[in-house]
Amino acid sequence: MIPLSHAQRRLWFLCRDGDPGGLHNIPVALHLRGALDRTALTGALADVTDRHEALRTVLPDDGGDPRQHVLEPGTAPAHTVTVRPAAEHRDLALRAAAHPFAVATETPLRAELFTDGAGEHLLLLVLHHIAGDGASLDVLVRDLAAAYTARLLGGRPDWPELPVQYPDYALWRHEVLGAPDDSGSLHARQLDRRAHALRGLPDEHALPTDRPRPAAATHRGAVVTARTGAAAHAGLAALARERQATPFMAVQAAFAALLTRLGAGTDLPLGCPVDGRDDEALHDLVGLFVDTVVVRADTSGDPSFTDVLDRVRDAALDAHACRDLPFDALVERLNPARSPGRHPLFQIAVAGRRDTGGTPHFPGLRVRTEPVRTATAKFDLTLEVDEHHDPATGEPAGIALALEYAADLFDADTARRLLDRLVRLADAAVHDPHAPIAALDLLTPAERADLLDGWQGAPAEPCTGTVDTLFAARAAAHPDRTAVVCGDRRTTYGELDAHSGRLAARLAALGVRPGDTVAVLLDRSADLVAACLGVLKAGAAYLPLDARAPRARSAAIVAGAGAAVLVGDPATAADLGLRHAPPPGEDADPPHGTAPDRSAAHPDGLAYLMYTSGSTGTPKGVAVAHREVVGLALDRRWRGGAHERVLLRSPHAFDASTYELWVPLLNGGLVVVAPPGDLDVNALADLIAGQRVTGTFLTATLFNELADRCPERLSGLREVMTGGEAASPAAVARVRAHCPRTTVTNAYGPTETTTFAATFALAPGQDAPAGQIPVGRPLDGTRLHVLDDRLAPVPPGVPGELYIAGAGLAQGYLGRPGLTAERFTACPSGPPGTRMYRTGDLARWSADGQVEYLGRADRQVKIRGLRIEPGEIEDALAGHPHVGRAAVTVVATPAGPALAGYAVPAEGAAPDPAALRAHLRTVLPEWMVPLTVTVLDRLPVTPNGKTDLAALPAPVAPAAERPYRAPRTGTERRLAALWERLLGAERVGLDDDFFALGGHSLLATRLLAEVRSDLGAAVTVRRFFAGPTVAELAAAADASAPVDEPPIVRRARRAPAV
Amino acid sequence: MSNPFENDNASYLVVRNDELQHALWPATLPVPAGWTTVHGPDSRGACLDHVEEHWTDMRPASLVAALDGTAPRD
Repeated sequence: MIPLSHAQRRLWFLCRDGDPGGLHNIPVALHLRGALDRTALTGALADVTDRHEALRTVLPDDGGDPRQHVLEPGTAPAHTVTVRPAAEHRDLALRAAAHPFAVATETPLRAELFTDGAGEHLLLLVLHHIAGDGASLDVLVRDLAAAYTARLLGGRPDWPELPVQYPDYALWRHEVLGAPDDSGSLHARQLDRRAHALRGLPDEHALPTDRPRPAAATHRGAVVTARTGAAAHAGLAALARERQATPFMAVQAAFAALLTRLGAGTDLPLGCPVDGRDDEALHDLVGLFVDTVVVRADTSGDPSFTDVLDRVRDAALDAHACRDLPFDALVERLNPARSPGRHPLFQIAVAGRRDTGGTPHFPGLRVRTEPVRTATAKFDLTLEVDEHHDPATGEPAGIALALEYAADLFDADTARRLLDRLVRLADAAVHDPHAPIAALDLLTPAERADLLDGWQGAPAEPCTGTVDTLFAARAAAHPDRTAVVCGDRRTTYGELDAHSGRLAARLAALGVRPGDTVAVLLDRSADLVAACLGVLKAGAAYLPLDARAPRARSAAIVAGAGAAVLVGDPATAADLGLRHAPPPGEDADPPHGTAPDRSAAHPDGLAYLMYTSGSTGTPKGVAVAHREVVGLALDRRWRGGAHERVLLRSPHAFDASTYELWVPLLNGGLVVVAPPGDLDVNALADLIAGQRVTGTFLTATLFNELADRCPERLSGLREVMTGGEAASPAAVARVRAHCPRTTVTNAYGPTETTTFAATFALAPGQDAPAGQIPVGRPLDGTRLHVLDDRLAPVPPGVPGELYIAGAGLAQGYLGRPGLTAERFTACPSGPPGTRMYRTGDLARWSADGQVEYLGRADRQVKIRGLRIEPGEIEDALAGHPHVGRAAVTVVATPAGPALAGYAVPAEGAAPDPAALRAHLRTVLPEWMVPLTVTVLDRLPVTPNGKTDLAALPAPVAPAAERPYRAPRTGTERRLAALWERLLGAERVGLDDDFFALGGHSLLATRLLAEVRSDLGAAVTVRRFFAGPTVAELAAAADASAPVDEPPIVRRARRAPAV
Repeated sequence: MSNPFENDNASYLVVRNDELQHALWPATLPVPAGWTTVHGPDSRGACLDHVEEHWTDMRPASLVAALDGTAPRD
């Protein structure tokens, strides 16, 4: 029996379940013009097939063990002739090139001739990779041309006999390598060496993708191309010479540097095909001599380009020194977490393009080789490198680059930009090879202009006063206009001005001076509005207290803020040790003091203090000046009437109240005060409709609930904003569908930047972006910067940390200089001496200049060594039609940390946790599917309306998801027993989920192999992932065609032993 | 990606602008225009201690000057 070579064996396993789109086909097309002798061509194809045994070898499977079965000479390859107009030839060839082979039964070369019946022909040769490689095609075409020439003259090709054939090579390789378990063998020695070099390799690169990785790769792909200039080529070649490396290694180094800069991490395994035609006896032979080595590029520690080149050179030389080692042996030894969604050990490859053997000569025909590519991608990304030289001088003439990308993960634009950036990085590296790679400029001047200017906020209107003086001007201009509606009570601008003035006088009488802080604790009411205004008129900053906060927290906040007076009820004031000022509506006594003259008040005086929870547990007081509040209120985005009647609904101690109060009041609009306490969805909807509210802000939690239960009730709004957490695209779509005249806006902003820093408005009729809703572009005068860890702007599409500068920045955390200096830092790109706030949020600019929120920098988790962003899983879970809201967190289990999912049902739905997990498995890779999904009535929320992850209940154990059902049929019993053995589980039931019981993709592959051998049923991995229970697998196994020995046409000529 | 402000082992500066606002700054990066180094290079903790000790009035200098009727300090 002739075994397969190691490389063949790997391909054989990959192709066993089918070869979608001709993934492993190597096509080449010869455009032939002139008089083609078809008889000679047919004869020549037979000659070539006779010459190379690999071309007439089939690979049948003896009980799971494939072997080479060489058919006798005279086995002509499949050869078709299609007569069609010449214009169709190329498309026909592309389609034919994608047709898969059945390598167990079919010979691996197909020839298809497309002819117009006259002088235009396209000859397509498709070789399966299992029988050849790129160099084999050259041999094949050269031999075909020689045979055609001979046939044309009525003879046979007169070529020297080949010294060896492919089966000889395969047997020889097995001998040379020796047994893996023989510690002295080449196999064992190289395996030890490589396993050591590659230990701890990340299972997956971290390069951001346009779409999440599917559970199983489709291998659809495409290619983009670019070319470096001759100068960059020459520069890379010179650098390579200087570092004793090859130009190819220099391109590898540049690619590694780029991947790091684009977020792929600093430990980068790159797959590299290596040609094993070391022996001259193999040079003229068709066959698979290529295997893959892994070059581990290390870009850690802020290296320069020359550093990276040195490291890549060493890594490549080391990998090449062990190129005898079959790639599969390495995979088996390193045993990475396997998934049908990604290639093991590496997902990014770099390949040198071979020198083509030149244009073949077919007498009487003009020949041109046409590149043909199947629309496939073997890996996530494959960079093909092809150096060109001036034919006259031999000087470098540019490096042609082709980037094949997996369409599952990347858009064409993304691949295009990535390749263009590689060209830029190569230029920059050649220009300054000793600069840190992190400092190489990846931005085009146009991109830099967009990032720093074009996509930023318009200049803010000059600040002409303070909140209270601008309000007073409004009150003077239209004293009789209604300013506040609270239930049946209406307060005009004039009355509000008078009430707040009275409080200011009262506060002055109590000793409050400009620059002081006054606490406010009142139910939502017209008095609350007057109280805030009154504090400002007294020259002080208001400090809203949260009625629900524990007393100790309020006391700490009051003490930290240095407040001496409380506007509220006397008991609370006494309890907190503060002097008491009654709310203006209850102040029967005439005031005794005189409010300060505010006409020359400085806009940098503080307007309010808003306390947020700090990561250390100590609340921090965000100090916001009048200038920033006025800037928010007078932003141009509020113009147009949508914010004329604004609902005051947010807890006062939450900074959305800044928008709710000052946007209407400083623009002559109306504040609609919601009743005190928590509003349910219906009461809220009634209020919006009853008071004809035009604009409102709802936390994401509330917005989603409304979207779920009664989206149509928001239809009277001109604009509804949501924020506080990532907006749910499904909820936004639902509201827009039910409210065709309402603008739906995603609003983003930390308290530290005065409520909103950026918004993304979806106006009626505007197409929503695919995927998540961006946070958009900054408000007037505000600047958003997505920066890398050198605080340089990252290119569009690349994640970085979001910093906010310009208008809206708070003065800092009151009384916390250290904390302020950490978070409000110097801005490298703004006007001299300005600051920027470091949000701790991950974000990226989209190609069209919208900022996309990617989650908290610190929420990312690692499970089984894989980086996971829980938000991505939450989106997928909330994408199920039965789910309203979702949360994902990490819980500790005896087997280590695991993901736990939580789902709140959509209105009227009762989702089944098992069904939700099944849904997740269809949209997420297996390792991102939470071990448990727990259905909850509602998600716990923090006081400021965000999901309180820490308060989620312990997950419901997966075993309790469904009751035990015993196996019934013979197949089910055998499968259950098989699971018990493989998983070490007891009493496996019909509905038990393979993955919930601890199965992973590697075990799944083993399971299916055993199903194949024990039950004679072929179930594909994809099929199994779609239904990984005993019951479903049994059904799939019973329905599958029995595995039969494929028929073989002829007997092998070759004796079993060589 | 690691945030350059969150590395306890890195070296930092304290920088100050004309408003006498203080900020932490990674010592390996160029100091932005309009800022002056007032402390460091030093450990992160020592830099923050310096800020706590020296940045006692967190109001912008121009505001303080306006309230006091004096010109801002150079």
